[in-house]
Amino acid sequence: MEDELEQKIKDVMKAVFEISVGEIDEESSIDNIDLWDSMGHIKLILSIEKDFGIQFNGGEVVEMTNYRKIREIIQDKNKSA
Amino acid sequence: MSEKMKFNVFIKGKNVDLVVLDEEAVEKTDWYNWFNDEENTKYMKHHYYPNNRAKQLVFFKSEIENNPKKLQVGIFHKKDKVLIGVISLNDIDFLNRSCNTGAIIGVKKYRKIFCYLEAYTLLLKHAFEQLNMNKISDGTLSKDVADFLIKTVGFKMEGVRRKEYYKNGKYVDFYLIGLLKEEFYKGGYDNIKIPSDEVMG
Repeated sequence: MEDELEQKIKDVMKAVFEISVGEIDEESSIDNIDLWDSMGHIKLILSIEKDFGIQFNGGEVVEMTNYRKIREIIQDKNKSA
Repeated sequence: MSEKMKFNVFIKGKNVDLVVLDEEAVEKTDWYNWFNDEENTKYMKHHYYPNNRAKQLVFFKSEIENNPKKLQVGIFHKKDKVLIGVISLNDIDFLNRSCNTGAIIGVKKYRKIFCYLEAYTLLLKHAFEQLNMNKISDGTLSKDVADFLIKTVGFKMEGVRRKEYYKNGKYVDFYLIGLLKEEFYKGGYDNIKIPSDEVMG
């Protein structure tokens, strides 16, 4: 289940940032992915919402600037759903 | 590359300050050159003709300096002490208490969502609390940007001007969004907790 979640996040990141899944790891963040600028971030958030069927609030949106945090926030949302 | 220089702070923020722009900013920063960058201007109504320092100075003198209908300030990265962009309130109308906004983060390294959102919310707060604006409008060539500002800041979609602009080889729609003062405090401002640069790593 966790593996499935991680794969799904990585698939979204792959499509938005035009990188391979293999390039995405625990350290992947806004600081080391070239296309993860403001526009990339907007596309990422909207794509995750669409693919996962969830909604993020303004606070979550500015926190989700690395792979680990994205996973953590989605996991929390899934638990409380 | 913009050199490190001192600016007078107009509005203090956490990671960025909004600073006073002057002729020195035109002369000593890359401000003018941000509009020559295709990537910077991909979703903006810019990059039709090249810009240069002389044109930027004319713009500064005619459109910004001593213009009560426009408030344009610089976005200054506090830690790195560099001007990274500009942001403005345009067409300020004190009768109807409305205006619209525009912004550019010109330096690629700082084109991060929290720099933009912090500058944006600082200026909106100033517009509502100091200039007594009741409504702020924005417009964008990107539906994604419109949807994002609706989600994070509290804007409402007000309409679409179909195929309004010619950009990147095709006619594109222009999305009109608007924000009332009460919507900003109810939907957006209180929810956006801007982290500091250190926290972001």
